[in-house]
Formats: sequence, C-alpha cells, structure tokens
Amino acid sequence: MAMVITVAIAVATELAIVGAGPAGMAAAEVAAGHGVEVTLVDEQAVPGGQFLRQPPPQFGVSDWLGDPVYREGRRLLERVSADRRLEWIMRSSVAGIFSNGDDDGDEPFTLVLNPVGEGDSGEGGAPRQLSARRVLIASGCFDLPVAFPGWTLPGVMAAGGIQAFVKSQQLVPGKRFLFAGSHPLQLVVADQIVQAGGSVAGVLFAQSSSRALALLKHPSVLLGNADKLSQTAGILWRLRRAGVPVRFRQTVLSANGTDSLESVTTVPVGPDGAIDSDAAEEIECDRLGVCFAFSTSSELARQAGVDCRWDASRGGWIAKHDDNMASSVPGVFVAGETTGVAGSDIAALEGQVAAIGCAAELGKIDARQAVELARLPRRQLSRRARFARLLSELAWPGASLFDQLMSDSATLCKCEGLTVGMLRTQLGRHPDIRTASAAKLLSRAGMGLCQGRYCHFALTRLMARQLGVPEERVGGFTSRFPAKPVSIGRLIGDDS
Amino acid sequence: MGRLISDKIRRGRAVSLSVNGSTVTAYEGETLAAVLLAEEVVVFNRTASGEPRAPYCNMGTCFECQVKVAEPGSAAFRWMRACVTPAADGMTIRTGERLSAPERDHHGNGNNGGNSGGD
Repeated sequence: MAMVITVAIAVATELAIVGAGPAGMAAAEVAAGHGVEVTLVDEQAVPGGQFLRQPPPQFGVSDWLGDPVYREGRRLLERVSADRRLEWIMRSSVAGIFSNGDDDGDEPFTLVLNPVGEGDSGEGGAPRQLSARRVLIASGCFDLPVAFPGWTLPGVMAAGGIQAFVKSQQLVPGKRFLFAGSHPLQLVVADQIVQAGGSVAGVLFAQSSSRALALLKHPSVLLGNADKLSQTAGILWRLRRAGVPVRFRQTVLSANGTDSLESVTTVPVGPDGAIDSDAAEEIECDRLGVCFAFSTSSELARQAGVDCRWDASRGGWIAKHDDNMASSVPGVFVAGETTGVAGSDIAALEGQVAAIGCAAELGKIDARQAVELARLPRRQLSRRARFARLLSELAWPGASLFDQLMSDSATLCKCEGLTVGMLRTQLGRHPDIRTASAAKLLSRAGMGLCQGRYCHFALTRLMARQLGVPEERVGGFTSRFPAKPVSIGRLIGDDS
Repeated sequence: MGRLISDKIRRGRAVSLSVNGSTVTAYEGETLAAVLLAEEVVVFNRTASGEPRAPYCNMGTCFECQVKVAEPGSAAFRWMRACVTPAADGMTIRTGERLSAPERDHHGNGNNGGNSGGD
C-alpha cells in the first residue's frame, strides 16, 4: 500500500521557524521587522524554549524568573508574544522537512507537523503541512544523557528537567536532591530548589575546584547574559547559608534503589581524571539531577540534509553554517544550540543574523543593507562565541570520565533494554560493524521511541573507543522522517 | 515525591481526575507529570522486562514518562507522555503499566539479557 500523507490543514508562510526559544524568537522579531511573513512552530504550549520555560497560561506566578539573568530574554518573550505580525503553531512537532525539488516554486519546502498530546499513539488529527519559502531550524538542545548503572531508575533526572518542574509547573519534584555533573547549571537549579524550600544534599563537580571556579566566575555566559559575576556569588552564598555542600573532583558512580532512587554512590575523581571506586561513598536522596553537558537536537537538521560535524563538548552533531547562518542546504538556515551549545544570548544573536540573511534572500532588503544590519550582531557574536567556547571546554569533564562511568551493567539504550556490556559483546563478535547506523541494525540501539536521542552519544563514544577511530568516523544514526514518532495510522489518515 | 510551591502562585481552576482508581484534584495548566509526582506516584510505566521508569527529561524528548490515559468520557486508554499532556477534568490515568515487548529476535539478541541488568 502506498503511504499517502494526509493533509488535514495546509498553510503557507515565507519563513518557517522551528523552535520558539531565544534563537527562534529573536529571528522572528527581526524577520517580521523587515516585512517577512513568519510562522513559528514549537512543541510546547507557550513560547520561550527551555531557557524561558513559562508557567502554563492558567497559572499566575507573580515573580516568575525574577533573576536579572533572565531579564533580556523575558523582554524578548514579552515583545514577540504581543507581536501581531507573527503566526504561531504551538504543541506541534516537526516530523520532517522536505524540499519540493523545484527551487523556482513559490514554496520550495514542506514541513510535516505532528500535533503533540492529542494521543501520542495516534489519536486526534492528521499531521498538518506547512509550506515555506525559507526554513530556520532553531531546535535547541537537551540535557546530555550519561550512562551509568541506575541512570534510568525513577528519581534520576536531567537537571534541566528538574528545573522545568520548578520554573514552569511550580513543583519541587523531590524531598532530598543531589546534583552531579560538571556544568554550572547545576548550581542554578540547586539554588532554585533551595529557594523553593527543597533540601539539597550536595552539588558535585567532576572538575578540580580551580577549573570549576574559573568557570563559576562566568556561568551566566553559558546560561544567559554576560558578566553577571554577582549572580554566581549570590548563588554560592545562598547555598552556603542553606548548608549545601559544593564539592569538587567528585562524581556519580551509580544510582541505587529497587523501584525508585534511594541513594547515590559517589566517587572521587583523581587529578589524572581516573575515578577511585575504592573510595566510594553513599549519599541518601530521592532525586538525582544529572548535569554534565547538553546534546544538540540535530535530528531534524540532519533529516533535512544539513551537513553536521562532531564536537562532543559543544553538543555532539552540530550544524555547519556560513556567516549568514545559512546551512549546506540552500534555503535552510540554522541558529542557536543547533550550531553548538553556547547559551541563550548567543542563540538570540544567531537568530538575528539568520533573519537578516533570510530577509535578503527573500528580497525584502538588498545585499548592502543586509551587511550593514548584520554588522552589530556579528561583532557581538564573535566576541561572545570565543569566550563561550572556552567556557564550554572548562565545563566539559572529558570523554574519559563518561567511558569510566559506562560500566557493563549500565543501560545503554533505555528503549530497547540494551546494556553497555551487551553492545560490547555484540561489537566484539562483529568486527565488521564500524558505524552507528550498522550497530543500530545489529543491536536495535536507537530503534525505540526516543529515536536514539538517549543512546547515540554513549554508543558513538563506545564504538570510537573500541574501534580506535574518531567519533566522526562512527557517524550518527541516519536521521529519517519522522524526526519524532508518528503512528502509521495517523500518517495514512486511518485513526482506527 | 513532589511538593507544589504555593508562595506567590495562583494555579488554574481545580479539576478532578482519576489516578489508578482514586479521585485526585489537580489544577488546569498542570501537566500529568506534575500531578502524578505531587500524588507520590513513583513508577510511571514498566519496560517489557519490568524495569520501573519515570520522567527523565521533562521536555517531551525521552518518552520515559508515558502513562495510560483515557480522555474524559472515553474508555480507550492510550500511551501519552505525562510531561507534555495537560491535566483535564474527567481524565482517567493508569500508571505502572507495562510497555509492549520490543521485537528482539531478529539478530539472535534475545538471550543476551542474562549477564546484565542488575542495578
């Protein structure tokens, strides 16, 4: 039977922006300002992305994200939310971006949208279709999943996920929290938990104190606006007052419990980066926040054919682009964490530059105007990007730490129930398997509902090490339509 | 294992839903993940091999928080991601249900589970 994608509602726009976080919102504002017709698509019910994860519209929160770090972002969010020129398609995933193959056509791209939450298993309307002359992919990032024994146990969460419960749902999701990682975000989340009345057993950094402190002087560059040293000082002071220990050269070895988290085994990390299992300690807690790094959401960009390269400390597969943020696919632009995780203010600047590039390609401004308009954001970008890159290197614990945590009993692919040991055995038996995509066929790693988002980093790293090749050679899982799960029934318009 | 913040917060209208047969009060705008954590639900679902699972990413990416949901007035239960599904009056939710088994026999991988899996 031929698969026909049902078109329930088809709409057309000049610029489709995928992702309504800082990059997408900044791009929308600039593009609309030059007369570009803009449609933003996002999975969440309200814009803001993860950095500005809003409470639901039914809530009234009087001092939501009152910290000055969020000021610029909140202003941007307020402006675009009130901007009548913008079209929004919320609670929709983009399952695929297709080129119509005829660049002379009015709308050379088709985006297949999948409404979220009307029944993940296929209930509800058919996917919508959005036609666009230009596409900007600003799909953001998610907390890097790190494989260690017990990481899938209820109670273990991405620190960003814990933060979203506090920021958006106004819920403290646990009684006693522990944070382990290498990224300064974990201090911010620990502080938010303490301020909301939660108890934090500790914040563990894998790095040395000197390396972490170099980072702590400037965590806001990674998280938001630059030069907010006072912010960090305030956080550290509040944590100290609350009796929360911040420890260095310590990390998580395993999460323990039967049906939920009861304790975390921690170990020292030596000056050479080696963990010392003989000096393990146990800390009781019911919630562990894991906070090492972030992984770019690159699936959609790769599905669209955008050239990417591997940079582990900046998010894994990151989209290549030119000075205008144009990707390798003509007409497709990229901005924000998709191009390397660097924080919200860099994301917003990239969004502005991409919008100027789109406006020029769409003939709204001429080439000379475009150069003139992009001059300031480009200058700000080059200054901040260099700094952000240095900081993301400081925040990166080194891949060898992950190699050590990835012991044989650790779950590798949580969807398919595959452990690190099982994959190692299979790869040992099949020395001809040398790419991530081949390993997927062999082991089913990456075939589950998360579509490889939670195992690709560990698998890529494990294979690179076992084969003695760079990660780039292992390659990514081939990213195909749909970039997020859609039921076959829904695609062919049969909801029964 | 969760506690709602009440200082300087006004939640949405109170709604009533059923969680594993008990009536639970929630507030419009809350996600099912928040409702269930506030109700001390620990295991959201179990994998085919019985491992317990619960929210990890809380942003719709990981699919660890799936629960069985019947819409108001419906008896048809469907798997939904609790973190992106808003609570609605009259919803029925079942937690701890088992996900169906992946087909793991194509490459002879089915018997490899014995030497692992211990947390």
